[in-house]
Amino acid sequence: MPDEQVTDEAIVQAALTDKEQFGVIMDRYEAPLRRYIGRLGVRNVEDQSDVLQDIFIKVYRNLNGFDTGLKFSSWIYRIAHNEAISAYRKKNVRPEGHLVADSEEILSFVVGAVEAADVQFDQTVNASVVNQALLELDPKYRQVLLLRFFEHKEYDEISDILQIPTGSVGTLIHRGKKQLATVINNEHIRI
Amino acid sequence: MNTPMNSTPPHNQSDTSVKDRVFSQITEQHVQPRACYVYWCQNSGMWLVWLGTVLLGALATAVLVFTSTYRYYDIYEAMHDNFFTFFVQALPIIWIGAFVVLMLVAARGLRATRRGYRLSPWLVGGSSVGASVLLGLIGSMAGFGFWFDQVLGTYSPMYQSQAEREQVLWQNPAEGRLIGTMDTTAVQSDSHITFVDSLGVAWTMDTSELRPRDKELLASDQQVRVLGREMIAKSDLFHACGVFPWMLDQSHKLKNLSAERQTHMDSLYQHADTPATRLQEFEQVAFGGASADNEPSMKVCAEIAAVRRVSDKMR
Repeated sequence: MPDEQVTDEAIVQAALTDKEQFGVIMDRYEAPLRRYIGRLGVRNVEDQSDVLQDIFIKVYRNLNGFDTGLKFSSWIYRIAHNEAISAYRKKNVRPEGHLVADSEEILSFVVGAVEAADVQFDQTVNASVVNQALLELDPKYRQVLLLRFFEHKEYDEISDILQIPTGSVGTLIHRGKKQLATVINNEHIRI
Repeated sequence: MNTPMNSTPPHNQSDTSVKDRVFSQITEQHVQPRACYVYWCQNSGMWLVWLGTVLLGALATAVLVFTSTYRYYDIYEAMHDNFFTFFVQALPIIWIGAFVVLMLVAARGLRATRRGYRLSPWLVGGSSVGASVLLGLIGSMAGFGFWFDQVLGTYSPMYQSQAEREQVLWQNPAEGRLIGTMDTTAVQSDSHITFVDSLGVAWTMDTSELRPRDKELLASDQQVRVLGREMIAKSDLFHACGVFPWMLDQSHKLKNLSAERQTHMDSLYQHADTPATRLQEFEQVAFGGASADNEPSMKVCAEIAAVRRVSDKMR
């Protein structure tokens, strides 16, 4: 069976006895995780590689701790999230993520959040403005918006990654979108 | 094998290098997946933390119920000027504090279980508090509150059990309260007995205003509580107005406590009625020809603080 068709969960089982199989996990997740930790604030490529190395070692060490009731991607994102957060805490720097993708998509969601206030988005709003506004959000809002609109995760996956109740995910996304709209408005951008 | 990286490597090169570095570290440091039992123990440990704190919370609840109930028995009219002072003194703050802390630990334990984070805060808090309160009420009915309070009082010098607290409250002759037993070997007269308090002090106790039930309790050889007045003129004379059983030798049902409370109240009401009755008796002596032997004197019990408080309430 080609590697692409084998589920993550099956590879995890195989990796427990054959560590070479763990390479398949790394092949699958290195790029998305690199992007994710970059968005969380680990910008330097060397730092990203160091954090990724720590993430994969941690994943390998904890393979038996993987809860098969979860999606493997949620579990590995959780570890990546925690490692990235502790990495930039260690460096004592404010996250400076570069949220380069999908800003238009999040814009459309923010429109939905503020429509009740009869506010219209100017289609010319620059994606970089949204990126900048996202960086000014409370971390708890930024994290859920990142996972929802940049990583395209479902609510239950976000719940598993951030280890918060699913109901709280919805609340945080709702409030995050409102705060994002406020931040953008405060920046004197007509939306 | 650690591959040095420049600041903007091509993506593929970066991928390969991380993978190599990871495998290199796994090999060099003999990194192995942790055993399954480690995770099982971690998860079970968190459940045990939750269970343990819920059980301790149940014990705290049982003691809370026990102490609150017994303070309810010690009707505040006998000791306090108003309900507020009674409420402040009766509030088992230490147990309320212990319960709150235990519930916080229980909630954290439950949240730290494998899937605990999925539970809503209401469910986490509600299940911990609900289980503790339910078990605590059952434990309280089974007498665990009384037992645990006694055990703590006996073995912990820092803790004052309800019995010890009551002892301190009732061993206060200046305030009209005594606790002790009647010395049956030293009977003085029908209206005077010898009473030895909990500090070993022997009192001559005037029992002339006691009801038959009070006298039965005194004669029972059991430790009792006596409400009355220390007579200043004679330093060892105590005028008794009511005798109440020492209820802290064992756990009692709420029904028994309520009955005792009612008896207690009846006794105070009876003394509160006395001035009017006395006036009638005086009138009888003055105008109706009662014998000198039956000439009444103003009764002491009608004037004690507890009875006065009850009188005020009656008005």
